[in-house]
Amino acid sequence: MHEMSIALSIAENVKEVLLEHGDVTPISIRIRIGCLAGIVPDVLRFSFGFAATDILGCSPGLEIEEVLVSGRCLDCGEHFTFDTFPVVCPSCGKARIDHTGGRDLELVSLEVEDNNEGDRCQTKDPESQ
Amino acid sequence: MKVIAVRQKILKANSQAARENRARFSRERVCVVNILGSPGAGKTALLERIAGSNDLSMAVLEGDPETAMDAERMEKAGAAVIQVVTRGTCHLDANMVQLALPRLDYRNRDFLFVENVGNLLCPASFDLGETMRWVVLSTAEGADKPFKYPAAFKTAKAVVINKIDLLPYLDFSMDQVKDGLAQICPKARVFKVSCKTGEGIDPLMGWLRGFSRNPAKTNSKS
Ligand SMILES: Nc1nc2c(ncn2[C@@H]2O[C@H](COP(=O)(O)OP(=O)(O)OP(=O)(O)O)[C@@H](O)[C@H]2O)c(=O)[nH]1
Ligand SMILES: [Mg+2]
Ligand SMILES: [Zn+2]
Repeated sequence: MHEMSIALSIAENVKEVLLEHGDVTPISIRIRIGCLAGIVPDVLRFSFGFAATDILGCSPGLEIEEVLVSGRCLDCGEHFTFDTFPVVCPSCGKARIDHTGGRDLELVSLEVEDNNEGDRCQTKDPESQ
Repeated sequence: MKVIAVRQKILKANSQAARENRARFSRERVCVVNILGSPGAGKTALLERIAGSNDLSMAVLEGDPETAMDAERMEKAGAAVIQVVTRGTCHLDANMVQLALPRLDYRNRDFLFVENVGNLLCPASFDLGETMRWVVLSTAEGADKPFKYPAAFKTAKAVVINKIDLLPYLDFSMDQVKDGLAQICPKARVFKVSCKTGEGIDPLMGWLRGFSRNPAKTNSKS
């Protein structure tokens, strides 16, 4: 359910970007998701299929880049990255870790096709057809 | 084929509404607490306790997927309250809060408590414009929850461990939960309470009073 509302937001964001770029069709959407954002990539991809069809009138691919959490060991100072808790320092094995990031939810880029060359799906307002 | 670089927050519409809410709350000098917790953790029970202490002026915004049962409970407890029914949606967002505010008598009160939908996942992603977040964790849920739901705990200013009256019947490990909280949210205040017996509520109230608009009238702040 969480994934669905994120999927709808992605589609809304994409729609807004597309409005500024004339007659183009989105082929694939690239996003970044932090490992602590609580989002399962496969579920998001599945939800996005529906959200995109509903909001964009087509279903571009979704490329998901997962962003690791940055950790710093409070005992030995080691810097490292990880994807889930609990976590221990890879260098000294202690568990007092300061961490940052991992909650990103970001639209990175869109790969689009120019509609003069041929379209795979309809992205404009369906009424205008 | 061409690539359009974007780099924008996916929830930017929510962030925008949250910013507006936050500006408004700070103008109106009301401290807004967004309360997260699993279904049945005791979020409403905690608010009933806080309302029952009768020394804070407060309003409550109740978010539930269905029913106005929690709002009815808070009304009985004497709080100004509005129920937002999300119709199945698993979290409140900043816009829902914004739309509900005109119908809630929260101005000139010290606190607006927002009881989020019972869920430790989704509400964590949606900033409502609150002053601070609390997570209510009940002992029956198990001590591993901070590790399993880091996004919720990470942003908590306070973690309220509820239902400590049940400890004798459970294998809930206070040490394990403390380890988890020390890793995920080392700065969070931790309160151990029972909303059933009232144990542990006083220290929480004392800390909370420090956030009222006139903390001088109270004896304890931090
Ligand atoms: N034993 C015990 N039971 C409690 C305590 N606090 C709450 N309860 C009970 O737990 C159940 C759920 O409490 P609620 O306050 O409704 O929980 P909630 O988090 O508001 O639940 P939702 O709004 O449905 O997500 C109720 O039956 C409460 O009476 C406690 O400290 N000890
Ligand atoms: Mg409740
Ligand atoms: Zn180390």
